[in-house]
Amino acid sequence: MPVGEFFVGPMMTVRESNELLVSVHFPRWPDAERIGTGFHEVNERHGDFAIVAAAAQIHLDDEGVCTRAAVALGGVHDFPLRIPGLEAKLVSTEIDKQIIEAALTEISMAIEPPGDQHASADYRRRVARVLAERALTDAVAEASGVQR
Amino acid sequence: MTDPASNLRYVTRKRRVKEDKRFVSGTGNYVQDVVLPDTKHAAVLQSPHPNARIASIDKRQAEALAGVHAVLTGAELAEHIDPIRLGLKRPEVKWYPLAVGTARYVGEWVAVVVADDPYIAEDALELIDVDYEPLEPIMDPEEAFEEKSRLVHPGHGSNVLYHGHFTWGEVEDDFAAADESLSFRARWGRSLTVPIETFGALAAWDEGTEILNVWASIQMPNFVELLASTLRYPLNNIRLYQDVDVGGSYGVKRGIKHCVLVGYLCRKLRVPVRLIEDRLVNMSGGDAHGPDRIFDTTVAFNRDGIIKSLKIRALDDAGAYPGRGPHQLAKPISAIVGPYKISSVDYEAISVTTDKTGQVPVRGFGQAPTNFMIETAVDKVARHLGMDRLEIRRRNMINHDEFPYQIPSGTKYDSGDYHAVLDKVLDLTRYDELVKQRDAARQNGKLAGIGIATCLEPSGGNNIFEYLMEPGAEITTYMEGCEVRVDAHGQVTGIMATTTSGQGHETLFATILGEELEFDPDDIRIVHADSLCGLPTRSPVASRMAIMLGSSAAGAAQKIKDRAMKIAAHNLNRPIEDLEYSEGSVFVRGDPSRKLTWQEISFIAHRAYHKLPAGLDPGFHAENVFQVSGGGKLPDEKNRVQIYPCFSFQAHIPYVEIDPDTCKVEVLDYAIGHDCGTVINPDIVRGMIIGGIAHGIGAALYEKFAYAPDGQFLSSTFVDYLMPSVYEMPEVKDVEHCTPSPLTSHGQKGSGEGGYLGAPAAVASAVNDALEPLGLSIHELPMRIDNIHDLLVGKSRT
Amino acid sequence: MNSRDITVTVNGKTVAGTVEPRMSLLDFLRGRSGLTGTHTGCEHGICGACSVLPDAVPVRSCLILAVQADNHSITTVEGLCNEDGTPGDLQEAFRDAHGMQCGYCTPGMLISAHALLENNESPSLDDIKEAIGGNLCRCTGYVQIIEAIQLAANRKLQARRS
Repeated sequence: MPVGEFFVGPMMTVRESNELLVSVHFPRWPDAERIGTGFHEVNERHGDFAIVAAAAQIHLDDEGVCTRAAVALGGVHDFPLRIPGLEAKLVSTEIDKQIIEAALTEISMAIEPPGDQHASADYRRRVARVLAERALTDAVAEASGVQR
Repeated sequence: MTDPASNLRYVTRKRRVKEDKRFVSGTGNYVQDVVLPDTKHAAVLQSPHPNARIASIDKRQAEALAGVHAVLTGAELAEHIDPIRLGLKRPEVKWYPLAVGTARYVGEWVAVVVADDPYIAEDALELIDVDYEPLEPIMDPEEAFEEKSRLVHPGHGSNVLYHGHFTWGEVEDDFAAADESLSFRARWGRSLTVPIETFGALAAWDEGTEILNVWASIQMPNFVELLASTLRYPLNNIRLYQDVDVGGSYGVKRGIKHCVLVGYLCRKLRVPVRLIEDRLVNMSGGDAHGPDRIFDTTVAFNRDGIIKSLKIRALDDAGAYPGRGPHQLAKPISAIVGPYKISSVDYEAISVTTDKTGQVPVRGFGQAPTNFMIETAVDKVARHLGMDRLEIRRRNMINHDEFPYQIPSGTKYDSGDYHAVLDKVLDLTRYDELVKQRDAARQNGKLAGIGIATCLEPSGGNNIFEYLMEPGAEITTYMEGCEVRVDAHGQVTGIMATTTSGQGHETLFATILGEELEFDPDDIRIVHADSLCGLPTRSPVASRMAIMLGSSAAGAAQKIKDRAMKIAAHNLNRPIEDLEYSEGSVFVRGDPSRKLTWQEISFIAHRAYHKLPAGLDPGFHAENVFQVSGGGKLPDEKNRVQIYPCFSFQAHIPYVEIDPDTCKVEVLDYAIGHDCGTVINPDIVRGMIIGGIAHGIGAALYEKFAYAPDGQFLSSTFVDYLMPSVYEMPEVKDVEHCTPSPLTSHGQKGSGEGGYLGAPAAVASAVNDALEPLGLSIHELPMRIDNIHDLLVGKSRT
Repeated sequence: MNSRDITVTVNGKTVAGTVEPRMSLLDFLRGRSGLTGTHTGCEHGICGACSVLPDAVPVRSCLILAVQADNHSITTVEGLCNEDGTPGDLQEAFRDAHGMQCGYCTPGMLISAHALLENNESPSLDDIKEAIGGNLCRCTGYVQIIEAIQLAANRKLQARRS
């Protein structure tokens, strides 16, 4: 099944108690030289589960136009999730700071962050933006061939 | 640094620690390693409610499970034992190992299962059916203080366990005369120096000798007395094996209720019974949470930065079963003004019960929260006056020529040179460059801060603060006993009377003996007596063992030497004044060929009675029970008294950066100057200090036992209760200074607590320095990401 | 409960036993092999006190079932000693640097350090931190543990070069 259907709740998946996960398939995007990635997380201590995490993968064509974008957030919802609205605002653009800023506004509608003893919902909402921005900036830089 | 020209051979020298050999080999003797045939295993059922009447317990299904030997409830147990004595006499606050009638916190033990193995025991727990009638819990300590109807122990009539008020010096006059005053609240969060080994106990009743044999991961004074009184046994019916290695304690391994349970069960069932806490039980139901304290403090000061007086109100949440927790409000009276010349103090101390896990003594016994509050006061005055935080300390600290220095509450600080230590650590950390580094980081958009904390470590121990809390508790004896035996072949063995949990006492003891007798400490064997054979002891609390066991050992060694000299004098036919001792041999001064070797002396002592001087008993051994210096007196009519004899000092300078977007605090550098008098073993002392700093960083930034408002406990695992890993520890630089204590055998003071007693204050100081350009401050620990976030986005946190 | 017969090689010696599937490798090692050097710290995989070495990479024996170790070889801290039971070189370095206090986390630290030094003869400070990043210690504050591992690495390198 697609990974988006696999996670259903905090630390919960659709696996039944008599089932065993046997493989995970990560499809690779073609045209590796024009792909960039970025990952940022915040945890209280190094190595802890992230309070908030953001991952981004970008493909730029030869003119520097984004043809494909994947942005996912962890710690901001009951399960990790992609932000399609944000991705849509990046595709077909020459991504720059303003475009990223505008795209980030899609985050708050898409997520319902939990609040717990580690961090409030407020914190997760705010920091999701910060980390997504950092992850995207890194991904775009790498895809453009710029040294990070 | 101890004078390199000194003629000490072993004390102060870098030497390997004896205990380390068995630890690296995996052959330590921890309680879980002790194996007795036919041992059964206990598991405990915990209450899911913060406060609930226990209407009924149906244990029939659990009892019927194959492999189960017993299921015991509180009601049954209470018929056979007395409630566990608390530190304060509060007869209506009844503490049993299993809840009797009412469960008073999430995690309280409600029943115990004994089975063939721990797996079956846990299976059986799931078969016990408890009918609870939940009641409304009282969780907030300030509410608990005022509360009239939600009482944790209704028979006690209130939630107030203790409410004391002390005034030393002319507080009102000092406040009236001071230029200004300011008030603040500082909050020390509920945390603990959680050891990696949980508490465990194994008990076996021997009917043939009528002895209850107990092995436990214990660090506590009066443990056997408490166990005996609870089980209603004569004290000498219990043998506690004290050669059990304790996997970390830092004050907290008290385990009375665990030992009462296995002690009762093993006799009832006629088999050894073992209870090893699993981590979840340990975190929620071990009755081992640390101080949880609100300070409301007002400080009076002059515009030149001199601090005149303090008014302190300390409210501490002791949980449902406080044990000795409330005493952690009184011990800090020993250094209630810190290292400063503050001339008067008003101290109101309150301990309350709530529906939380009970409190246990923690490293420093209340001094870490108190130092945090005092340093917060000093930094706040500095910020208010626009004065440098170093300068204000220099102006207020006691000067090196003012020792012994008596503080308003009556304690005399024995020795010190606080300014010298501060200067050394500033030098070590290249302070001016650190300031530049901080300022550069700020230019780059980070929040960056340098922390400063100058703190005392009271050491040596005595109990007289108990009398301050409860006049009539006339306990002034605080001693440490040891024996030294020289066998017929001349080998030396030292016998200590208590347990060790990583402080290297065997090495300490052997080093002092080796120094005095002039033998290699590696050739000296140290053993731990069990409680039936051991001399009186007060156990390794209060940062006391270097002082007390060290001084006791030195005294015992002197008696051994005296005996050797007497035997030699008699056999060389010369007066003692004509003789010299060197490395075990005794020879005639000026004629070294006329001598007796150590082997010859030992042989005479053990075997050749005809060669002993008249009046000397056979054998070659000595006992020494050393009473703490300055102990033995009751407080005067103004409640002034010497609490603890020796005062070590540390100056901490950490450097932190805070990411303003993620609000994460990182401690990037740490320098500490420390003065614990003569350092007996440098590696042990350095390890203690850095380990204490790690505990302090944990308490400052990560560690909290959290409760939801409805009373649910949120921190039972290491996923939620966060302790520093290697990544959270900065590189620590340290520099030593030595002002010997005049009160101990070699000038040594305690060093087991100092890192922890100052690090939380220092890290708080650094975070506040980082927030200072924004005009913000935070005075609640731990300072977690969420707390910094709320501050930075301008919310106030309730 | 259906029991299984398993055979595990621990430090070169065969340990056979009949176990329930739910028994952890930690409990099997401590209860059936006669070796109590591997310690119980949290039983949920965080503290690392239970670390043992099946191959090159340490595992938390509290999170492994005993039946998973059937027909496998495991090294525990005792296996780092010399034939005669005396401490090996890594363990001696820990003694020389006093890289411990209560000793409870020490077996796990030694296993992690051993795995590091088997694969990396000049570990950087970051390499060392990564190796012991999953081993919690409450006594030492880690500094003297790091120094012990650096000492062991230097000595091993010197010995190899000479």
